[in-house]
Amino acid sequence: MARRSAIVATGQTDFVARRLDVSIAEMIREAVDRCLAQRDLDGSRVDAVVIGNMELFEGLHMPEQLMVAALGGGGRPVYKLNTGGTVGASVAVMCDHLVRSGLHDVVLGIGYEKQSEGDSQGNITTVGDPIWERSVMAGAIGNFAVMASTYVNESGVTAEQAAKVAVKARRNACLNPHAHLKKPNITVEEVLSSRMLAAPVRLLDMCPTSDGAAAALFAAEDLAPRLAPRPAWVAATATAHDQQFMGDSPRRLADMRSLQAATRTVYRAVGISDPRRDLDVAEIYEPATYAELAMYENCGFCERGKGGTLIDEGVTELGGELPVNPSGGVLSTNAVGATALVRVIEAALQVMGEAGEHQVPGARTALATGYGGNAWTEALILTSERP
Amino acid sequence: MDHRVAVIGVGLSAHARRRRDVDYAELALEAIDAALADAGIGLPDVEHAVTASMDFLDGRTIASMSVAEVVGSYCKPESRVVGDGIGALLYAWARMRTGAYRLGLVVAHAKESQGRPHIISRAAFDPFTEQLLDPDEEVVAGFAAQRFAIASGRSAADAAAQVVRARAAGRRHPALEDLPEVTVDDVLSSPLLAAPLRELDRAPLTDGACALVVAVDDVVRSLGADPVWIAGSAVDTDAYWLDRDLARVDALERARDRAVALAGWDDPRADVVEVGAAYGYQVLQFAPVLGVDPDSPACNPSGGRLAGTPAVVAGLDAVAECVQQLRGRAGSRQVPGARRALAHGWHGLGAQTHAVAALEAAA
Amino acid sequence: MSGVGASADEPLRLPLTVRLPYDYAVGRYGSRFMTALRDEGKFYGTRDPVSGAVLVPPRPINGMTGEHLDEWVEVGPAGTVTGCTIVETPFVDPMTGRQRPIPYGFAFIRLDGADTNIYHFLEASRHEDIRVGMRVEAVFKPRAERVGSLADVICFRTLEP
Repeated sequence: MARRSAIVATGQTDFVARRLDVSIAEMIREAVDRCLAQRDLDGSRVDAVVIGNMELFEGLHMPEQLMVAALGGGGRPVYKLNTGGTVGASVAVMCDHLVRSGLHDVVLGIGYEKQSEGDSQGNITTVGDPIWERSVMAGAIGNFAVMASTYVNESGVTAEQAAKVAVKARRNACLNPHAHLKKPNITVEEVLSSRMLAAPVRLLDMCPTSDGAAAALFAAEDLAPRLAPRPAWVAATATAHDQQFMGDSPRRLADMRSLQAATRTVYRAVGISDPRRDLDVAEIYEPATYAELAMYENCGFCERGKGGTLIDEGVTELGGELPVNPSGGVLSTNAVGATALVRVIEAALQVMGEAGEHQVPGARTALATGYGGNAWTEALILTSERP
Repeated sequence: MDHRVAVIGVGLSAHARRRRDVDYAELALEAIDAALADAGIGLPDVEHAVTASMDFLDGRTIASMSVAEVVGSYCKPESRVVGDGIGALLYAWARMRTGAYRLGLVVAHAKESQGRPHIISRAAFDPFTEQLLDPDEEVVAGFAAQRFAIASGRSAADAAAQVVRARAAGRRHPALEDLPEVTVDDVLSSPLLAAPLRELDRAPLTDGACALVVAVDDVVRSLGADPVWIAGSAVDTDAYWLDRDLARVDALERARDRAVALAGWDDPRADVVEVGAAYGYQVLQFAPVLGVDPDSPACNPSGGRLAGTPAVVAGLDAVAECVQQLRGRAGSRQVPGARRALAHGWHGLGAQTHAVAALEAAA
Repeated sequence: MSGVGASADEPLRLPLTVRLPYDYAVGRYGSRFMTALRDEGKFYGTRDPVSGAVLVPPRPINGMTGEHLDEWVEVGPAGTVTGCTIVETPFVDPMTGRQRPIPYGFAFIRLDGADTNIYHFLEASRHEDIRVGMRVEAVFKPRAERVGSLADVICFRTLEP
């Protein structure tokens, strides 16, 4: 059995629409400093860095080479990944693999995006295939709206149920010092009367774009207990992709094949047979409210078509049977390169018992997922106990 | 615990100045089909893939989306590194040492002809203090060539001789498009690129893809494959180009040291060394660090990047050449009796990040 | 600025525009599809010899099975809407640099004979005029205006009364 890895320290910037006060390098440094400071560690402990962001979003090519000083300086390997919205989870998965393989003992994973410095709408079009997709794109919103329409048609989830997801997210965000959109008084009515962007998706159904960075320190099995009082053990990871073009999957949200594949792989690896019962908390990558409802089904939290019922019954609220996104989720904070790493970090904070006001009491087993491109998916299980 | 991991299939697309006939998926598939055939497996057998590509080169966010299906990633893991292809090999190797995956594809693609190199590499500079000076990677290479010449005493003619040598070698490589024969004088009298570099000092812009099939030990046995073992691999990153002496190659030394240590080689020298060199002077600078005489037949038998391989793909092409050499299948390029090889690649302005793979022939 | 060590009371900004021109190869499969759009006003997909699935856009490999695709079949021009919306938020068309007039219809369309969907615009622009499952047909530009791109199709028009 290969040695395990655990997350021993984490750091996040406070996500906002625009960080006018810092450069990208300073913003990354903030997250890294907070991560190391959490355990009073020196940067010299770090053997390697894995970092992810969307280069075209800020218009900087190979930015991690330019900003290597902010990452802790030259003199160690810097691995760069770019897998779209899921890159933060890809970073976490690579950190885990590198440590497990024995190549490095302590690996720092970083995800960031300073989207305010780019043209967000123009940037999203660069995700589309130039030949087949770009000329007929309608941005992320149009994309999600069409997917949501298929799901709504099949499942019968209502706008009210979607609105409840939006309310849950922005209220939970009030308990998370790092979250971007905090709305303590948000109501279902407010969501339902927010501007329609592209049916059925309204303004408050969508995630924001945020500036920010996140960092997580992974350590080898023998080191981890010495670096953190209660490490978050990486019990299982999985990655799965879908087909190539946006229109390939006929029932994009109703049948999220890559999410099913990735979650089933990690469930099997740790012996989870009933995720709703066996998981204590889930931090999933939900770009829009309808997506979260569909993800409940595709992660196996409920039967097909019952995503709406789950939110109606309060199962996924902070005090519910399986809290989903107690951090406020992507609906509250979305700096693309960081977001999936934030899911992993928030899941880690839960099983470490360090999630502060949004702590799920007694959380010991957490699921984190990432979503990018055409439903490219990562799933990780983090546990309080060494597996 | 540790599985040994071998390369059991090698494939290169036809490399050319411009591959106008294919999109990225088709280009990569040329290499993938060849590698799968070499390994004797089909695409559905592949359990995971690691790819290498760059968004700025492709003009596409998540550039690897273009090759998602041809690398067999439907409901399977694919991860994508941004950097030289040897970084992708390293990650695939790391994931397989633990047995997490047992059979995989490593694929790199790049089309240097489709974007504007000057604009692309300018975007790698500091936007506040450098981009307004309109620099590109050639400028940094010019500085580096100058620093190297001063520090080493090697001449421009010595560097030009490497270009001549590389083109001759490349004409023996079936996948590379032939480059016109040149003399040292031709190189030295070609137009200035960024002093002291001349246009012919530089590798030509190229479109191409490379694919490797990698397998753990027991899969190698059950397939009856022709393996070359990945004995060790390492990546290391130096300071940004402005913050270091370009005559030094600290990151390459560290990457070499770690790769060789992981391989357990007491003697760091190999029988074949494929040096990642986009300019003639880089062969002179990097080859000795990798333990080989730049003029020896053991150095860049494929011709390397100067013979026409693109950034990102170059390192994986270097691994592919080493694999064929160690299998005794390098044809007219064969270095006799090769048992150990080193493959090298880099990326970043002034070769900031280096990647090295140490390879061993089957017993 | 008040001298050495001045703090960022007034954080500065640097506007910078990066224009990245690219010249993409459409590829073998893409070229065949686009040429048919331009010259014939027809859609083609590639058929998996084992599973029988017809994929649009056409491509060399069916990602779901790993099969090489060499068989071309005509699909459409009519199809079924499998997902749809009316876009009401301004969005700059990346091909023209100008904002598309809103509202406009946008949909997944499964062309008759295909097993995958393409994205395209709908002629309809009101919620009550679109629904999942409705039948639509491609509206092509006149032959003289077609250049071999998805934009040779203007939109999809509702077939139902």
